[in-house]
Amino acid sequence: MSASAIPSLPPSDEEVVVRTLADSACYGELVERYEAKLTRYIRRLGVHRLEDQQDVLQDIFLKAYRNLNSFDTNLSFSSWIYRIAHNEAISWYRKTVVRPEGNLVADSDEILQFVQSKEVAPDVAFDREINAAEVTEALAQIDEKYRVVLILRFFEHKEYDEISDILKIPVGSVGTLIHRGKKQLASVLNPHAIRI
Amino acid sequence: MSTSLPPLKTTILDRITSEQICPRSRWFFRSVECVVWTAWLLSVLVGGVAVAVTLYVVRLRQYDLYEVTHGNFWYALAEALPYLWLITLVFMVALAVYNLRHTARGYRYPLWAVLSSSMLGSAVLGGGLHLLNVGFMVDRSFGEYMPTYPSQMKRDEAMWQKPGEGRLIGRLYLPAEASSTIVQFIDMQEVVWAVETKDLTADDLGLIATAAKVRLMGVQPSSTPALFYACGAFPWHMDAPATPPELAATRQGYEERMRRYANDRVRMGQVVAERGTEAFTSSSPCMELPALKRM
Repeated sequence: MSASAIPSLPPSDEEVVVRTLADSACYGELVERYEAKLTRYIRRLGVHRLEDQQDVLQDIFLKAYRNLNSFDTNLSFSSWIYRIAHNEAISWYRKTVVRPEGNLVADSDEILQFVQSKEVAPDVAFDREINAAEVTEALAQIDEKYRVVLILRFFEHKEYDEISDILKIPVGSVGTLIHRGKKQLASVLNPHAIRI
Repeated sequence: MSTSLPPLKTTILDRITSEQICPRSRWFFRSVECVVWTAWLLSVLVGGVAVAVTLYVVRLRQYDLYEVTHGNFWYALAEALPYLWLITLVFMVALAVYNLRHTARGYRYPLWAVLSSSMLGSAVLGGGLHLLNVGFMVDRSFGEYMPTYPSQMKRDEAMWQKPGEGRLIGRLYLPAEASSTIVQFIDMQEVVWAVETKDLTADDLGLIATAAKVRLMGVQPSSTPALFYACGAFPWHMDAPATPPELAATRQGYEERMRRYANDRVRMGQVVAERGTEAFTSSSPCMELPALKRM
Protein backbone atom coordinates (compact mmCIF):
# COMPACT_ATOMS: atom_id res chain seq x y z
CA MET A 1 0.00 0.00 0.00
CA SER A 2 1.52 3.31 -0.98
CA ALA A 3 1.80 6.34 1.29
CA SER A 4 -0.06 8.45 -1.25
CA ALA A 5 -3.21 6.51 -0.43
CA ILE A 6 -3.32 8.04 3.06
CA PRO A 7 -5.59 11.07 2.89
CA SER A 8 -3.93 14.24 4.15
CA LEU A 9 -5.43 15.90 7.20
CA PRO A 10 -7.14 19.23 6.70
CA PRO A 11 -5.09 22.17 7.96
CA SER A 12 -5.63 23.11 11.58
CA ASP A 13 -7.40 26.35 12.48
CA GLU A 14 -4.08 27.82 13.52
CA GLU A 15 -2.55 26.96 10.13
CA VAL A 16 -5.50 28.58 8.36
CA VAL A 17 -4.99 31.70 10.48
CA VAL A 18 -1.39 31.91 9.30
CA ARG A 19 -2.50 31.46 5.68
CA THR A 20 -5.25 34.07 6.10
CA LEU A 21 -2.70 36.65 7.22
CA ALA A 22 -0.98 36.14 3.89
CA ASP A 23 -4.15 35.76 1.80
CA SER A 24 -7.51 37.03 3.04
CA ALA A 25 -9.38 34.56 0.80
CA CYS A 26 -8.33 31.75 3.15
CA TYR A 27 -10.50 33.30 5.82
CA GLY A 28 -13.54 31.77 4.16
CA GLU A 29 -12.36 28.37 5.42
CA LEU A 30 -12.55 29.54 9.02
CA VAL A 31 -15.95 31.13 8.44
CA GLU A 32 -17.26 27.84 7.08
CA ARG A 33 -15.83 25.87 9.98
CA TYR A 34 -17.35 28.05 12.67
CA GLU A 35 -20.55 29.40 11.14
CA ALA A 36 -22.82 26.63 12.41
CA LYS A 37 -21.18 26.36 15.83
CA LEU A 38 -21.29 30.08 16.50
CA THR A 39 -24.84 30.40 15.17
CA ARG A 40 -25.93 27.78 17.65
CA TYR A 41 -23.97 29.43 20.45
CA ILE A 42 -25.26 32.96 19.95
CA ARG A 43 -28.79 31.58 19.58
CA ARG A 44 -28.41 29.98 22.98
CA LEU A 45 -27.16 33.25 24.36
CA GLY A 46 -30.36 34.92 23.22
CA VAL A 47 -29.83 36.09 19.64
CA HIS A 48 -32.96 34.42 18.35
CA ARG A 49 -34.05 36.06 15.11
CA LEU A 50 -32.35 34.89 11.93
CA GLU A 51 -31.62 38.45 10.76
CA ASP A 52 -30.05 39.31 14.10
CA GLN A 53 -27.98 36.16 14.01
CA GLN A 54 -26.66 37.10 10.57
CA ASP A 55 -25.75 40.58 11.77
CA VAL A 56 -24.04 39.32 14.90
CA LEU A 57 -22.18 36.60 12.98
CA GLN A 58 -20.89 39.16 10.49
CA ASP A 59 -19.73 41.34 13.37
CA ILE A 60 -18.03 38.35 14.98
CA PHE A 61 -16.15 37.25 11.86
CA LEU A 62 -15.14 40.75 10.85
CA LYS A 63 -13.97 41.56 14.35
CA ALA A 64 -12.03 38.31 14.46
CA TYR A 65 -10.46 39.14 11.09
CA ARG A 66 -9.42 42.64 12.21
CA ASN A 67 -7.88 41.22 15.36
CA LEU A 68 -6.33 38.16 13.79
CA ASN A 69 -2.86 39.31 14.79
CA SER A 70 -3.87 39.30 18.43
CA PHE A 71 -4.65 35.58 18.28
CA ASP A 72 -2.27 33.80 20.58
CA THR A 73 -1.30 30.50 18.98
CA ASN A 74 -0.84 29.04 22.44
CA LEU A 75 -4.61 29.20 22.79
CA SER A 76 -7.02 27.30 20.60
CA PHE A 77 -8.60 29.28 17.80
CA SER A 78 -11.95 27.85 18.83
CA SER A 79 -11.69 29.40 22.32
CA TRP A 80 -10.53 32.67 20.85
CA ILE A 81 -13.40 33.03 18.39
CA TYR A 82 -15.92 31.82 20.96
CA ARG A 83 -14.68 34.62 23.21
CA ILE A 84 -15.36 37.15 20.46
CA ALA A 85 -18.75 35.56 19.78
CA HIS A 86 -19.59 35.67 23.45
CA ASN A 87 -18.70 39.35 23.74
CA GLU A 88 -20.57 40.28 20.58
CA ALA A 89 -23.69 38.36 21.57
CA ILE A 90 -23.70 39.84 25.07
CA SER A 91 -23.19 43.37 23.78
CA TRP A 92 -25.86 42.80 21.14
CA TYR A 93 -28.59 41.94 23.57
CA ARG A 94 -27.47 44.66 25.96
CA LYS A 95 -27.61 47.19 23.13
CA THR A 96 -31.00 46.03 22.00
CA VAL A 97 -32.26 45.91 25.60
CA VAL A 98 -33.47 42.40 25.11
CA ARG A 99 -33.28 40.05 28.00
CA PRO A 100 -32.63 36.49 26.95
CA GLU A 101 -35.60 35.05 28.79
CA GLY A 102 -37.38 32.49 26.70
CA ASN A 103 -34.87 32.76 23.90
CA LEU A 104 -32.83 29.78 24.91
CA VAL A 105 -33.26 26.98 22.54
CA ALA A 106 -34.78 23.92 24.06
CA ASP A 107 -32.77 20.99 22.93
CA SER A 108 -34.29 18.00 24.66
CA ASP A 109 -31.36 15.60 24.30
CA GLU A 110 -28.79 18.06 25.48
CA ILE A 111 -30.95 19.31 28.30
CA LEU A 112 -31.54 15.75 29.41
CA GLN A 113 -27.80 15.08 29.41
CA PHE A 114 -27.20 18.32 31.24
CA VAL A 115 -29.63 17.72 34.05
CA GLN A 116 -28.42 14.19 34.47
CA SER A 117 -24.84 15.32 34.79
CA LYS A 118 -23.33 14.62 38.20
CA GLU A 119 -19.85 15.91 37.54
CA VAL A 120 -20.01 18.91 39.85
CA ALA A 121 -22.67 18.19 42.37
CA PRO A 122 -22.93 14.48 42.88
CA ASP A 123 -25.41 15.03 45.66
CA VAL A 124 -27.85 16.56 43.19
CA ALA A 125 -29.61 13.94 41.12
CA PHE A 126 -32.29 14.85 38.66
CA ASP A 127 -35.23 12.78 37.77
CA ARG A 128 -35.24 11.05 34.38
CA GLU A 129 -38.73 12.23 33.63
CA ILE A 130 -37.60 15.77 33.45
CA ASN A 131 -39.49 18.38 31.60
CA ALA A 132 -37.14 20.00 29.07
CA ALA A 133 -39.30 23.08 28.77
CA GLU A 134 -39.07 23.66 32.50
CA VAL A 135 -35.28 23.48 32.40
CA THR A 136 -35.14 25.90 29.49
CA GLU A 137 -37.32 28.33 31.37
CA ALA A 138 -35.28 27.90 34.53
CA LEU A 139 -32.02 28.46 32.63
CA ALA A 140 -33.38 31.74 31.38
CA GLN A 141 -34.14 32.81 34.95
CA ILE A 142 -30.75 32.21 36.53
CA ASP A 143 -27.94 34.78 36.65
CA GLU A 144 -26.22 35.50 33.36
CA LYS A 145 -22.80 34.47 34.67
CA TYR A 146 -24.13 31.03 35.61
CA ARG A 147 -26.22 30.60 32.48
CA VAL A 148 -23.24 31.29 30.23
CA VAL A 149 -20.96 28.72 31.87
CA LEU A 150 -23.71 26.11 31.91
CA ILE A 151 -24.35 26.66 28.20
CA LEU A 152 -20.66 26.42 27.39
CA ARG A 153 -20.14 23.35 29.50
CA PHE A 154 -23.26 21.32 28.82
CA PHE A 155 -24.49 22.59 25.47
CA GLU A 156 -21.26 23.53 23.72
CA HIS A 157 -19.36 20.73 25.48
CA LYS A 158 -16.37 22.89 26.27
CA GLU A 159 -13.66 21.82 28.68
CA TYR A 160 -12.93 23.89 31.78
CA ASP A 161 -9.75 25.42 30.35
CA GLU A 162 -11.60 26.34 27.15
CA ILE A 163 -14.36 28.02 29.15
CA SER A 164 -11.64 29.79 31.11
CA ASP A 165 -10.18 31.13 27.85
CA ILE A 166 -13.56 32.08 26.40
CA LEU A 167 -14.81 33.93 29.46
CA LYS A 168 -11.36 35.12 30.59
CA ILE A 169 -11.74 33.80 34.10
CA PRO A 170 -9.50 31.43 36.10
CA VAL A 171 -10.13 27.72 35.61
CA GLY A 172 -10.98 27.40 39.30
CA SER A 173 -13.72 29.97 38.91
CA VAL A 174 -15.24 27.96 36.06
CA GLY A 175 -15.79 25.01 38.39
CA THR A 176 -17.21 27.29 41.06
CA LEU A 177 -19.60 28.97 38.62
CA ILE A 178 -20.80 25.64 37.26
CA HIS A 179 -21.38 24.33 40.76
CA ARG A 180 -23.24 27.45 41.86
CA GLY A 181 -25.10 27.65 38.56
CA LYS A 182 -26.42 24.15 38.97
CA LYS A 183 -27.47 24.92 42.52
CA GLN A 184 -29.25 28.07 41.44
CA LEU A 185 -30.88 26.23 38.58
CA ALA A 186 -32.07 23.55 40.96
CA SER A 187 -33.56 26.18 43.24
CA VAL A 188 -35.39 27.81 40.34
CA LEU A 189 -36.73 24.61 38.86
CA ASN A 190 -40.28 23.74 39.71
CA PRO A 191 -40.08 21.18 42.51
CA HIS A 192 -43.28 19.54 41.28
CA ALA A 193 -41.87 18.91 37.85
CA ILE A 194 -38.40 17.89 38.89
CA ARG A 195 -37.37 15.82 41.84
CA ILE A 196 -33.96 16.74 43.26
CA MET B 1 -42.05 33.92 0.35
CA SER B 2 -38.56 33.62 1.71
CA THR B 3 -35.50 35.41 0.42
CA SER B 4 -32.41 33.26 0.30
CA LEU B 5 -29.40 34.86 1.96
CA PRO B 6 -25.95 34.60 0.35
CA PRO B 7 -23.55 32.28 2.16
CA LEU B 8 -21.96 33.95 5.15
CA LYS B 9 -18.49 33.15 3.81
CA THR B 10 -19.22 35.14 0.64
CA THR B 11 -20.68 38.06 2.58
CA ILE B 12 -17.67 38.22 4.88
CA LEU B 13 -15.10 38.00 2.10
CA ASP B 14 -17.00 40.58 0.05
CA ARG B 15 -17.09 42.98 2.95
CA ILE B 16 -13.39 42.46 3.64
CA THR B 17 -12.67 43.37 0.03
CA SER B 18 -15.17 46.19 -0.44
CA GLU B 19 -14.50 47.84 2.94
CA GLN B 20 -10.77 47.22 2.60
CA ILE B 21 -10.61 45.66 6.02
CA CYS B 22 -7.13 44.60 7.10
CA PRO B 23 -5.97 42.82 10.21
CA ARG B 24 -4.51 45.27 12.72
CA SER B 25 -0.76 45.11 12.88
CA ARG B 26 0.88 42.69 15.28
CA TRP B 27 2.77 45.65 16.70
CA PHE B 28 -0.47 47.30 17.71
CA PHE B 29 -1.37 44.37 19.94
CA ARG B 30 2.15 44.09 21.28
CA SER B 31 2.10 47.78 22.11
CA VAL B 32 -1.21 47.42 23.96
CA GLU B 33 0.25 44.51 25.90
CA CYS B 34 3.36 46.56 26.65
CA VAL B 35 1.23 49.45 27.91
CA VAL B 36 -0.67 47.14 30.24
CA TRP B 37 2.54 45.59 31.59
CA THR B 38 4.13 49.03 31.97
CA ALA B 39 1.06 50.23 33.86
CA TRP B 40 1.38 47.17 36.11
CA LEU B 41 5.07 47.85 36.63
CA LEU B 42 4.40 51.50 37.44
CA SER B 43 1.69 50.64 39.91
CA VAL B 44 3.99 48.14 41.63
CA LEU B 45 6.76 50.75 41.62
CA VAL B 46 4.59 53.47 43.15
CA GLY B 47 3.28 50.86 45.59
CA GLY B 48 6.92 50.10 46.45
CA VAL B 49 7.58 53.78 47.11
CA ALA B 50 4.49 53.85 49.33
CA VAL B 51 5.86 50.87 51.25
CA ALA B 52 9.27 52.54 51.54
CA VAL B 53 7.79 55.76 52.94
CA THR B 54 5.53 53.77 55.27
CA LEU B 55 8.52 51.79 56.56
CA TYR B 56 10.46 55.01 57.02
CA VAL B 57 7.60 56.57 59.01
CA VAL B 58 7.05 53.47 61.11
CA ARG B 59 10.78 53.17 61.78
CA LEU B 60 10.89 56.82 62.84
CA ARG B 61 8.89 55.88 65.91
CA GLN B 62 7.39 59.32 66.35
CA TYR B 63 5.28 57.74 69.04
CA ASP B 64 8.43 57.03 71.07
CA LEU B 65 7.87 60.02 73.33
CA TYR B 66 4.12 59.60 73.33
CA GLU B 67 3.80 60.55 77.00
CA VAL B 68 5.12 63.99 76.06
CA THR B 69 3.21 64.45 72.83
CA HIS B 70 -0.06 62.57 73.32
CA GLY B 71 -2.48 61.35 75.91
CA ASN B 72 -1.73 57.70 75.25
CA PHE B 73 0.29 55.38 73.03
CA TRP B 74 -2.55 54.37 70.70
CA TYR B 75 -3.50 57.95 69.97
CA ALA B 76 0.14 58.70 69.18
CA LEU B 77 0.41 55.65 66.96
CA ALA B 78 -2.81 56.48 65.12
CA GLU B 79 -1.56 59.98 64.44
CA ALA B 80 1.87 58.78 63.32
CA LEU B 81 0.55 56.37 60.67
CA PRO B 82 1.08 57.62 57.10
CA TYR B 83 -2.50 57.33 55.89
CA LEU B 84 -1.81 59.06 52.61
CA TRP B 85 0.80 56.43 51.70
CA LEU B 86 -1.26 53.55 53.02
CA ILE B 87 -4.17 54.67 50.83
CA THR B 88 -1.74 55.07 47.93
CA LEU B 89 -0.48 51.54 48.53
CA VAL B 90 -3.98 50.05 48.56
CA PHE B 91 -4.89 51.96 45.41
CA MET B 92 -1.70 50.91 43.64
CA VAL B 93 -2.14 47.26 44.56
CA ALA B 94 -5.71 47.42 43.22
CA LEU B 95 -4.41 49.04 40.05
CA ALA B 96 -1.66 46.44 39.71
CA VAL B 97 -4.21 43.64 40.09
CA TYR B 98 -6.44 45.28 37.48
CA ASN B 99 -3.54 45.65 35.05
CA LEU B 100 -2.27 42.14 35.58
CA ARG B 101 -5.74 40.71 35.05
CA HIS B 102 -5.89 42.58 31.75
CA THR B 103 -2.68 41.18 30.32
CA ALA B 104 -3.10 38.51 27.64
CA ARG B 105 -3.04 35.64 30.13
CA GLY B 106 -3.71 37.44 33.38
CA TYR B 107 -7.23 36.06 33.62
CA ARG B 108 -5.91 32.52 34.03
CA TYR B 109 -4.56 33.16 37.50
CA PRO B 110 -6.81 33.22 40.56
CA LEU B 111 -7.39 36.55 42.24
CA TRP B 112 -5.43 35.61 45.35
CA ALA B 113 -2.37 34.79 43.23
CA VAL B 114 -2.60 38.05 41.28
CA LEU B 115 -3.25 40.04 44.45
CA SER B 116 -0.47 38.45 46.48
CA SER B 117 2.06 38.73 43.64
CA SER B 118 1.31 42.44 43.26
CA MET B 119 1.49 42.98 47.02
CA LEU B 120 4.67 40.95 47.28
CA GLY B 121 6.17 42.93 44.39
CA SER B 122 5.43 46.21 46.15
CA ALA B 123 6.61 44.87 49.51
CA VAL B 124 9.94 43.53 48.23
CA LEU B 125 10.57 46.62 46.15
CA GLY B 126 9.53 48.87 49.05
CA GLY B 127 11.87 47.02 51.40
CA GLY B 128 14.75 47.49 48.99
CA LEU B 129 13.95 51.17 48.48
CA HIS B 130 13.73 51.63 52.22
CA LEU B 131 17.22 50.23 52.65
CA LEU B 132 18.38 52.85 50.14
CA ASN B 133 16.62 55.56 52.21
CA VAL B 134 14.25 56.29 49.34
CA GLY B 135 11.33 56.58 51.77
CA PHE B 136 13.11 59.31 53.66
CA MET B 137 14.14 61.14 50.48
CA VAL B 138 10.67 60.97 48.96
CA ASP B 139 9.01 62.20 52.12
CA ARG B 140 11.45 65.07 52.49
CA SER B 141 11.33 66.07 48.81
CA PHE B 142 7.54 66.03 48.74
CA GLY B 143 7.56 68.17 51.88
CA GLU B 144 9.91 70.68 50.30
CA TYR B 145 8.21 71.02 46.94
CA MET B 146 4.57 70.49 47.88
CA PRO B 147 3.36 72.97 50.48
CA THR B 148 0.28 70.90 51.31
CA TYR B 149 2.13 67.60 51.73
CA PRO B 150 2.38 66.71 55.44
CA SER B 151 5.95 65.42 55.53
CA GLN B 152 7.25 63.84 58.69
CA MET B 153 9.51 66.84 59.13
CA LYS B 154 6.56 69.24 59.06
CA ARG B 155 4.48 67.02 61.31
CA ASP B 156 7.27 66.66 63.84
CA GLU B 157 7.98 70.39 63.84
CA ALA B 158 4.30 71.16 64.33
CA MET B 159 4.06 68.59 67.12
CA TRP B 160 7.05 69.97 69.02
CA GLN B 161 6.42 73.67 68.42
CA LYS B 162 3.92 73.83 71.29
CA PRO B 163 5.60 75.57 74.22
CA GLY B 164 2.29 75.89 76.05
CA GLU B 165 2.10 72.11 76.14
CA GLY B 166 5.72 71.77 77.25
CA ARG B 167 7.34 71.10 73.87
CA LEU B 168 9.74 73.35 72.04
CA ILE B 169 11.82 72.75 68.93
CA GLY B 170 14.68 74.86 67.63
CA ARG B 171 18.37 75.40 68.11
CA LEU B 172 20.81 77.22 70.33
CA TYR B 173 20.92 80.94 69.64
CA LEU B 174 23.33 82.12 72.34
CA PRO B 175 25.09 79.96 74.91
CA ALA B 176 24.75 80.64 78.63
CA GLU B 177 27.00 83.19 80.28
CA ALA B 178 29.58 81.91 82.69
CA SER B 179 27.54 82.38 85.84
CA SER B 180 24.18 81.41 84.33
CA THR B 181 22.32 78.30 83.30
CA ILE B 182 20.03 80.16 80.92
CA VAL B 183 20.66 79.85 77.19
CA GLN B 184 19.06 81.73 74.30
CA PHE B 185 17.13 79.34 72.09
CA ILE B 186 15.47 80.16 68.79
CA ASP B 187 12.38 78.14 67.83
CA MET B 188 10.87 77.29 64.44
CA GLN B 189 8.90 80.55 64.40
CA GLU B 190 12.07 82.58 64.96
CA VAL B 191 11.09 83.42 68.53
CA VAL B 192 14.07 83.64 70.86
CA TRP B 193 13.48 81.97 74.22
CA ALA B 194 15.34 82.21 77.47
CA VAL B 195 15.69 78.54 78.39
CA GLU B 196 16.57 77.45 81.88
CA THR B 197 18.86 74.42 81.59
CA LYS B 198 19.79 73.69 85.17
CA ASP B 199 17.84 70.42 85.25
CA LEU B 200 19.42 69.13 82.06
CA THR B 201 22.07 66.45 82.00
CA ALA B 202 25.57 66.92 80.59
CA ASP B 203 24.49 64.96 77.52
CA ASP B 204 21.52 67.29 77.03
CA LEU B 205 23.75 70.33 77.29
CA GLY B 206 26.23 68.79 74.89
CA LEU B 207 23.44 68.17 72.43
CA ILE B 208 22.18 71.75 72.66
CA ALA B 209 25.73 73.10 72.34
CA THR B 210 26.08 71.49 68.91
CA ALA B 211 23.53 74.07 67.68
CA ALA B 212 21.74 71.30 65.85
CA LYS B 213 17.99 71.27 65.87
CA VAL B 214 16.76 69.73 69.14
CA ARG B 215 13.48 68.99 70.85
CA LEU B 216 13.00 70.31 74.35
CA MET B 217 10.62 68.93 76.91
CA GLY B 218 9.74 71.20 79.77
CA VAL B 219 7.45 73.85 81.18
CA GLN B 220 6.59 77.29 79.90
CA PRO B 221 6.34 79.66 82.89
CA SER B 222 5.75 82.68 80.63
CA SER B 223 5.26 83.51 76.99
CA THR B 224 6.05 87.25 77.32
CA PRO B 225 8.88 87.33 77.95
CA ALA B 226 9.50 83.97 76.33
CA LEU B 227 10.72 81.72 79.11
CA PHE B 228 11.01 77.94 79.01
CA TYR B 229 12.15 75.60 81.74
CA ALA B 230 13.83 72.66 80.03
CA CYS B 231 13.50 69.22 81.56
CA GLY B 232 15.02 67.24 78.71
CA ALA B 233 16.62 67.66 75.31
CA PHE B 234 16.26 65.12 72.53
CA PRO B 235 17.90 64.96 69.12
CA TRP B 236 15.81 65.73 66.10
CA HIS B 237 15.87 62.71 63.83
CA MET B 238 14.56 64.31 60.65
CA ASP B 239 17.71 65.63 59.01
CA ALA B 240 18.90 62.12 58.26
CA PRO B 241 17.31 58.71 58.82
CA ALA B 242 18.04 57.67 62.40
CA THR B 243 19.33 54.20 63.10
CA PRO B 244 17.39 51.89 65.43
CA PRO B 245 20.12 52.15 68.14
CA GLU B 246 19.90 55.97 67.99
CA LEU B 247 16.13 55.84 68.37
CA ALA B 248 16.41 53.30 71.17
CA ALA B 249 18.95 55.51 72.93
CA THR B 250 16.59 58.47 72.74
CA ARG B 251 13.79 56.46 74.30
CA GLN B 252 16.11 55.03 76.93
CA GLY B 253 17.43 58.48 77.84
CA TYR B 254 13.90 59.75 78.14
CA GLU B 255 12.83 56.90 80.43
CA GLU B 256 15.87 57.32 82.67
CA ARG B 257 15.18 61.02 82.98
CA MET B 258 11.52 60.49 83.81
CA ARG B 259 12.46 57.88 86.42
CA ARG B 260 14.81 60.42 87.98
CA TYR B 261 12.06 63.03 88.15
CA ALA B 262 9.67 60.51 89.60
CA ASN B 263 12.19 59.57 92.29
CA ASP B 264 12.86 63.25 93.01
CA ARG B 265 9.16 63.76 93.38
CA VAL B 266 8.90 60.93 95.88
CA ARG B 267 11.86 62.28 97.80
CA MET B 268 10.32 65.77 97.72
CA GLY B 269 7.15 64.35 99.18
CA GLN B 270 9.15 62.87 102.02
CA VAL B 271 10.98 66.19 102.60
CA VAL B 272 7.67 68.05 102.66
CA ALA B 273 6.33 65.57 105.15
CA GLU B 274 9.39 66.09 107.34
CA ARG B 275 10.01 69.83 106.98
CA GLY B 276 6.72 71.37 105.86
CA THR B 277 5.50 73.18 102.75
CA GLU B 278 8.43 75.62 102.52
CA ALA B 279 10.30 72.83 100.73
CA PHE B 280 8.16 73.54 97.60
CA THR B 281 10.11 76.73 96.97
CA SER B 282 13.11 74.67 95.91
CA SER B 283 11.27 72.00 93.88
CA SER B 284 11.83 71.63 90.14
CA PRO B 285 8.93 72.17 87.68
CA CYS B 286 10.12 68.99 85.99
CA MET B 287 8.62 66.98 88.82
CA GLU B 288 5.18 68.23 87.76
CA LEU B 289 5.44 67.37 84.07
CA PRO B 290 2.15 66.02 82.68
CA ALA B 291 4.15 63.28 80.92
CA LEU B 292 5.29 62.01 84.30
CA LYS B 293 1.70 61.31 85.28
CA ARG B 294 1.10 59.41 82.02
CA MET B 295 3.93 56.95 82.54
